[in-house]
Amino acid sequence: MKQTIISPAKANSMYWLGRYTERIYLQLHLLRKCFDKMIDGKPEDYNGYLSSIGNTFTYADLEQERYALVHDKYNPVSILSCIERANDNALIIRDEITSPTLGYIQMSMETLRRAAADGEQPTVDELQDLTDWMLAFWGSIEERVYDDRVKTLLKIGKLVEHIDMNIRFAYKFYRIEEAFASLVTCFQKEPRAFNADAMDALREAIDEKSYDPKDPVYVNKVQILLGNLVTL
Amino acid sequence: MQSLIENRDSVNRWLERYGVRFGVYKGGVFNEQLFPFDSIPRIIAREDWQMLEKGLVQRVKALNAFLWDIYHEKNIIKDGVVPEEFVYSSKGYMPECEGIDPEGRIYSHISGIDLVEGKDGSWFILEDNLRIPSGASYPMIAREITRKVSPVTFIDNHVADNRDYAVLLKEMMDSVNKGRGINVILTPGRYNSAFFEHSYLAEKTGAVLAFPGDMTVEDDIVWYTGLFKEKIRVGAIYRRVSDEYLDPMAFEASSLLGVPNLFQAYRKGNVAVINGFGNGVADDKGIYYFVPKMVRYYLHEEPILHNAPTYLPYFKEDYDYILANIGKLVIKDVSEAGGYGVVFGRDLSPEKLEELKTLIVEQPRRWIAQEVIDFKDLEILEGMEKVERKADLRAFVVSGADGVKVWKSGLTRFSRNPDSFVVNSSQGGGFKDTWVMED
Amino acid sequence: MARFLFTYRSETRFSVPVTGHSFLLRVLPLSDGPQQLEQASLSLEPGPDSLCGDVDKWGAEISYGIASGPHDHFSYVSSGIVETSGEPRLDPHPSPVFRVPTALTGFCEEMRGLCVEGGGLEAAKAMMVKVSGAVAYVPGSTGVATSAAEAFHQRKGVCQDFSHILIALCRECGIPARYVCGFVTGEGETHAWTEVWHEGSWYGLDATSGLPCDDTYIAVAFGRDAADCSVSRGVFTGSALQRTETKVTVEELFEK
Repeated sequence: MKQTIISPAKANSMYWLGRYTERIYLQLHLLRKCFDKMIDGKPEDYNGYLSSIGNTFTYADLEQERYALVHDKYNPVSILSCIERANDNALIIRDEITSPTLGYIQMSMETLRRAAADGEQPTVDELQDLTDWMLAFWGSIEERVYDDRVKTLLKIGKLVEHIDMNIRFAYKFYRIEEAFASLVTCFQKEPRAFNADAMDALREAIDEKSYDPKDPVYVNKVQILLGNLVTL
Repeated sequence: MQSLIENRDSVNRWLERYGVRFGVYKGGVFNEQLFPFDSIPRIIAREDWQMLEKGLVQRVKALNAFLWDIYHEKNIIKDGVVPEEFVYSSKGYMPECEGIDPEGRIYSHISGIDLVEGKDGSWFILEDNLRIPSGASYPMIAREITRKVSPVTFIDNHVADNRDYAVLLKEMMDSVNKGRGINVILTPGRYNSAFFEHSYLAEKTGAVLAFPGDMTVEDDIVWYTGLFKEKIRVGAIYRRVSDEYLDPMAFEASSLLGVPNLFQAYRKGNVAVINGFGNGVADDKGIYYFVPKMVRYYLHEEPILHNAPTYLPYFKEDYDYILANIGKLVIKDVSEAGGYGVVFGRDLSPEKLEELKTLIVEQPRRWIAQEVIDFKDLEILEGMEKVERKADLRAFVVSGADGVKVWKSGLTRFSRNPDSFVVNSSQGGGFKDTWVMED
Repeated sequence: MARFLFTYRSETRFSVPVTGHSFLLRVLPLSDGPQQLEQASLSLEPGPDSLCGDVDKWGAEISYGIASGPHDHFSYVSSGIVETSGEPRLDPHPSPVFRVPTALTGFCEEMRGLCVEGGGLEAAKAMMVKVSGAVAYVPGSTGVATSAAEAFHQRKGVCQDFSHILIALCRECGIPARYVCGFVTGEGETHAWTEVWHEGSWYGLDATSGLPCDDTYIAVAFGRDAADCSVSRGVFTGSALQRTETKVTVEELFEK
């Protein structure tokens, strides 16, 4: 049995691995919708994706944009950038998550790098493989990791990212409420990983009456609270 | 075996999937590249292995006895077997280690002994790596993969299973562990060239992968510190950080890779450090010359394994021989490691040869010279074509308080360049699995 | 024979609080043949979580430990009474490492003119005088990592460099030599000098002043070179700027 002490550096990697893998999973889902709108929609239909994920890069045409949102490693919001960041964190904790689990991240990264190097447009198969591997990654964590604290730290990252993305994309309140309830359970398990003041403020902000994802001031406030929530 | 060769791409895909990589710095930029795997294994017959195994155990026992002697009685010097200047002028000799008694008198827990096979089937020792030899993880994971990819190969060939390396390591760590603490593997970090190996061995041995900063020393006890300042005692550190960077209080003050005051905890016998401090004195290329003498001196046995014919300019007879025959010898700078500082006399222009001679005359202690061995080349695949290349074998010998064991496998490295004799992985070679046959 | 009251004070201030501060100090004089430590104390502020004492490989007292909690200053004071005889230190079997150069004490051909053949204490003294005359004492002209050859090349240095150059010369001429760090009378910094081995004993030579050491030299640590004798080492967590002030005071005590 492995001892249950987790170093601050590894805890930090667990949290960020949770965040990045969830971001990739959700971004893939949103990207497919965005690509669909690019077929015959107007710019205002698909530009929402770009602004909501915080893209600051500009591209000459839609072709380039489609390529870059998945394959441009210099753009921090591309899928490739996110998978590289996920990999940076996963490598640090190979001994905790096991090599087969790490394999899903490695495989995703190598597949994307190869496609990017070939200059190919993202294909439906490639995107589906990535989605499958992200799900397999979480399944592998469930199947292969027995240390609850490791799972909790990964899950905290996942939930924080989930709430953040759902608010950015103005999902319905019940979606946020569900994830937040799950986060509160993590807080009860591992209270020392959280900033209690930020948690209290979030409880107030994540409320059906005050929920207003169209208000940039509200979104910004919740994002700051989420950013300060975890003290790793 | 044909099936294994045909499935080479599949093996390489699995290696990629598991992140089996080797970090390389080029022009200040860090890159991780795949360590190219060649699917034709090196095959060692059962009888050959039995001889190698005995010879390796003997050699490593003598080396550990030498290290203990050097840091205690120094009988081998007093008896005139090893001249004192070879010990005290070696960069690897650490006066700090005088009088320290590591568990089981073991300094070199993991010894990476480099050998080559000559054309006539005889084996020669090239180097003893007793500091932080690396490379065992590659054949370990390669076998894991090849058994899956091509089961029929292993049904048809009775190859000793080499997946027990982690067990050997774990048992060794447990046998020297102090105070029932945890075992950790200390890595310099994510951007170390062998980081894959550090993380993989941690996973497989159940040791904790520790980074600089994760451990502190209080009252001569080493602690692994958690997220919430909780602490757990560390009993054994398999460190992959070299001596000089391992404790900024005792050695290189600017090091950020070490554990402050670790040396004091080690000195007091409160933690095992694997491999021990001060081993460099026995893996010095100049000391290598004396290893067969050590075997006779400490074990009263004839050495089973032989050194490559070696000359020390320190001795008059050898000095004259080297200067007269420099064109056919390989000259090594004793202070360099990893395939650096190795030159072949035949590759040098007459002017360069004269320059080298001058260096040898000025600093005879700095150099050794060896006859060039007629290597037995191994087949590798270039595309789908079989070609022959130079290759060596790094055998891993694990010494714990419970005995000395040789891992039934090893890292076979080959040079991709047909003209090169240097097979070091930091110089762009590839690797093969090493099969030790059971029948 | 002389008795001294010594005090060594060091105060470090950090621009922002630091944590996990490990340290190792050599701030107490040796107690050996020609030198006896009668009373000694060491106090640290903030009080560390752990403080251990031991002797290093050459016999110097070391004090080490860790101050874990956040702190914006770190200070320590060592003081006590030491008696010195000024006699050479007996050592029938000096370690052979004092015969071979280190990174900081490598000989260079430029120094050849200062070599005095013949061996023994007299040759070493003659070289000491030559070093003292050839190199100028210029504070701030070198750093802790300056080698003997670098300092000699610019003909400038501080006591550490004078000692390293004399060590390089002695070892080149076959005389075992070692580095000594310690205190001298008056008020100021720590000092460094050289000991050379001759017929079973170590003799102190001060290449900075060009004179042999007498009973006003109080040894704290020995080593192959300055790197073996660091008075104070520390590492901590936190990106702080630090400023350290140190002061040694040594007063001779006379019988009433």
